[in-house]
Amino acid sequence: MPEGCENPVWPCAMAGAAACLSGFHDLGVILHGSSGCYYYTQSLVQAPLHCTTLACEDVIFGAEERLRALVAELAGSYARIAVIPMCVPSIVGEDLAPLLEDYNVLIVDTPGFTGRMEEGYRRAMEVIAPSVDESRAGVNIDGIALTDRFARGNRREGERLLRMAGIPVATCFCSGRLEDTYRAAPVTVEANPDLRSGVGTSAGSLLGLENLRTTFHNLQSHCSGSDSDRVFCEIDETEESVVRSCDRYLRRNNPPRAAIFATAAYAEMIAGLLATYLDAEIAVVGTRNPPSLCSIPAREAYDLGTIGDLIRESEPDLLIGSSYEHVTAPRIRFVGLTYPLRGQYMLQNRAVAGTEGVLSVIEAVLNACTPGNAQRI
Amino acid sequence: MNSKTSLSNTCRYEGCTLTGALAVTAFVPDGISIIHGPSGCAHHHVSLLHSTLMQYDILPMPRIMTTGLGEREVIFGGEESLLETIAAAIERSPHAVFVISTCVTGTIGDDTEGICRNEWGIPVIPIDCAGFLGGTFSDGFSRALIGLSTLIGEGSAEGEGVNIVGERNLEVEVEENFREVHRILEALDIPVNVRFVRNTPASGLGRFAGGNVNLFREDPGGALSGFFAEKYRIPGIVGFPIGPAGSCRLIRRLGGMFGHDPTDAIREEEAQWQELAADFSDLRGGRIALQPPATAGEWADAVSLASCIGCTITNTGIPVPWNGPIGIGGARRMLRIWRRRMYA
Repeated sequence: MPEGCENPVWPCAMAGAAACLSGFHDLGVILHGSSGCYYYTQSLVQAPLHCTTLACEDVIFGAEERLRALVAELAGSYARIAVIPMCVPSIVGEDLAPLLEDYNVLIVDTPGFTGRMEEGYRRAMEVIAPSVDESRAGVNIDGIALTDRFARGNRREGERLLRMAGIPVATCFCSGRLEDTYRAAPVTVEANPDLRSGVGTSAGSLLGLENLRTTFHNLQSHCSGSDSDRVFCEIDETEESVVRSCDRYLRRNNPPRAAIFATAAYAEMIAGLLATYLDAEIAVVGTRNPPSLCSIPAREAYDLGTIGDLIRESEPDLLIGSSYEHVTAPRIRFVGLTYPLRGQYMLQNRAVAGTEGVLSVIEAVLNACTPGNAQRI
Repeated sequence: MNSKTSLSNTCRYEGCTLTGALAVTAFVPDGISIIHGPSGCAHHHVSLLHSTLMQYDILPMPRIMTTGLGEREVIFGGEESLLETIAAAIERSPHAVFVISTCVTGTIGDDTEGICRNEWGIPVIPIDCAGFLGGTFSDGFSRALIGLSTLIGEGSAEGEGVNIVGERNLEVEVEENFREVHRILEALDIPVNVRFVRNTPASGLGRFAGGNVNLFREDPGGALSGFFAEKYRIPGIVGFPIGPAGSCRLIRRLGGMFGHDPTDAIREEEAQWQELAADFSDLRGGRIALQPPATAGEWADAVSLASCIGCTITNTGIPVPWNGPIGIGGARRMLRIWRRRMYA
């Protein structure tokens, strides 16, 4: 925890576990705790969640029966139930396993105080304990989390590119049916490496054009019968389009000086695109998760106090991040890439991954940087 | 997240005390709120405030710090973290610090109040919430208002007019509702003294004691109005005005309390309600059912509003939303939605 942490901007481990589990539509997810934390988590993941809505008397006299009754009520509606004990039930040490042994429940003990969102997500994956079916055809898509506003777009983009290469999609982590996690394909591509499940052999990332080339090159050797030529063609066409637009921009404008605030993998991708195609100066990279996950120099940007300091110190003219960054420096041109993006409507399923993701990011940056254009995502 | 709806068991569904407390302390611009608990808990509320404030186009965020309790503090106690965080907050030069306890600190038993009593050089005010263990949103809200009353002190000779107490800072129409009250006060030539607490600096709260009347946004249990009446000997009026009856009643009561003749103000108010009725004359004769139903305290005012536009409330009527609209502006916004429903 940074000393004097002011206005923390990233969710807790409990929310991360809920984001992971609620991606599986046949899994009923129960937050065992109070309504306040439930409402927040529900608004974050935008998927059905259930809650025991504990009150003080439940903590004093025991909440076990309340939980058991809710599990019994939901058991008929889902293939399986998962329970996430929140802070207080976890501290008082309720032993839930024997209480719920009749229901084959997944108990994901990740109360909020155990860490940040990614840790809860990872812990939930451990409890699910996915397994690989060596005979399963296709490739898994990894790193699809409901807390990511680009998750649906990333998934669709991953599916589209794999189909283009003649590769069926196997399991999607974490979106789809829980049972599919126990018959994952042996090979996986990563739409967001920050939320890597570790299932199967990774063929690489779908973020950025160079990664895409490498990943689909790897897939050719992993997947017999696949043909990535059309994908390579599309990557080349995408690059030509990006180069053409960026050159046009650079003929009239100076390169931006960018401050990037995101999770490590997204930040790295954006920094690479901006430096490669716009000759941008990367003034600072701030990451919500540990900066050590970034292969480029990065600082931790977990609270609004630090974010404000980093923006002031680096003096960017382009800000890429969340609405927190935007409200901190509202006069700087802004591109929204990171949760949350309050104050903006976002109905389209936009991607960061794949060729469409690259086009989307470059388009947003050019539109934001072009003098006279209204600020937009 | 507020208590507009009348659920049968609000203690389970009304969120936690922490949200209620922050709905007060975060609106003291020269104060810093410390959430004594895990950082995720603080983030959850930062996120809520960020979202709410952006709806008002208010960009600067209130300063909310966290003691960031983790597994180590849950086992060994979080008091050391609280001491460090209060010191870090004071380095940022606020006029006051508010320490809000969470369910985690309530469970592990930190002595939050004891630490706040240390000599800090500025007011460090504990708001004993204990998250959901301490009750609901409303409990946290009331405790924060009562806690912040220590900033009023013994009272100042300065100040006059009406103290506006307990505005719902998280409701979308908070400023519109205030404008309705302000309009009525202006009609009687009565000033607003202090908004307790909405965007009033800690250093300005001392004027509260100079007020002549406290007008409470709401106070269903009477605890808040009772506390302030007893402590400051200032008479109170509970509830912002709803419907023509509520508005005229408020004008009469204020007129009586300030010794002003309310006749002209009431005539002017009634004329404005008639203008509103004319604007919605197409709804005349409609039979409506309020959803959710008006509370017992609101019922007479709801009937007066429906009558004003020529509608009848009946269980079998067209369902229309009821949100306890404040004044003419609130009624106008709600009636637009009624119109859409009644013509749907």
